Amino acid sequence: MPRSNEQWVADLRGPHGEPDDGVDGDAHDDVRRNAASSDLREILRGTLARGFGRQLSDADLDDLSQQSVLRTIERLESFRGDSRFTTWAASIAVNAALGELRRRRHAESSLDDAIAAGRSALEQAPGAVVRLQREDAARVLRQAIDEALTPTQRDALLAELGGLPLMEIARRTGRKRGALYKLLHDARKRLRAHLEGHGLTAADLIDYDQGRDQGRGASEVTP
Amino acid sequence: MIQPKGARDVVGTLLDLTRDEELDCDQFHEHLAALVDGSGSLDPRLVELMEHHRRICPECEEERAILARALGCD
Repeated sequence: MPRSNEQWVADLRGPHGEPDDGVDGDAHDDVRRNAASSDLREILRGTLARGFGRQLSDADLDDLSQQSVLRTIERLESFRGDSRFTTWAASIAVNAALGELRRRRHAESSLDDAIAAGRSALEQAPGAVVRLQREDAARVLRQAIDEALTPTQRDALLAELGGLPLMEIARRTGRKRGALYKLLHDARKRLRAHLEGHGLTAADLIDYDQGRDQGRGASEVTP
Repeated sequence: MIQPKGARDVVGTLLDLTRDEELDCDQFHEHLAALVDGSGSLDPRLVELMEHHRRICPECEEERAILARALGCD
């Protein structure tokens, strides 16, 4: 019989109502906790296999599902109950697997390389046919990146444009992903204000034939 | 990987989507399970902020899409 959300939380808790701290409780608690951990590991293994297909080997699936059970238990107190428990645990597992795949994919590229690639991408000559307004906007943008942003904001933005995922930039700069996002959000607001100060808008940077639907760093992990 | 030819377009698109109030990636992830399970339990304003984050952050959108596919919710 499937567990309810409350049962999952209760079964994975340690003997004193705390997330398992590795200290043995009574035998009954241990049996219950081990059974719940084992069940959750199998569920998460299946979730990762369906989500990532051949990108994850059997060994990856074993390691990541085990890691994800531990992470889920560590975060047990933050589960609010506004989703199924297994969906919440699956979100933790997918995040862990994406982090591992992105780390592997970019293992050979340094932060400095990504910053240089981002700079180069911005300075790339425009196509033969380009509106004067757009070229002005591009010049003002390059100026804004150098003058209106802090060095930390500038490097993070250029690394992002150079193709390094935020998750990897955060890991390499010792930041949480959310904190990095906030830093880049502030950078975007500064850039937009700088453009507006020159009578330009974000739309002036976009070549509508190719740019409107192009997201930042299109999916690189999903098959 | 952003192609050099499109870098300015990408910045332009990002700036075009920039708002004063945005969810960051950690906040998005905090509510992702509820979004994928069916957003009925989430405040509509929060859902709108999450939809905006999906547009501006392809990494989080990829995470959502993989989770939805894995759970058969897509």
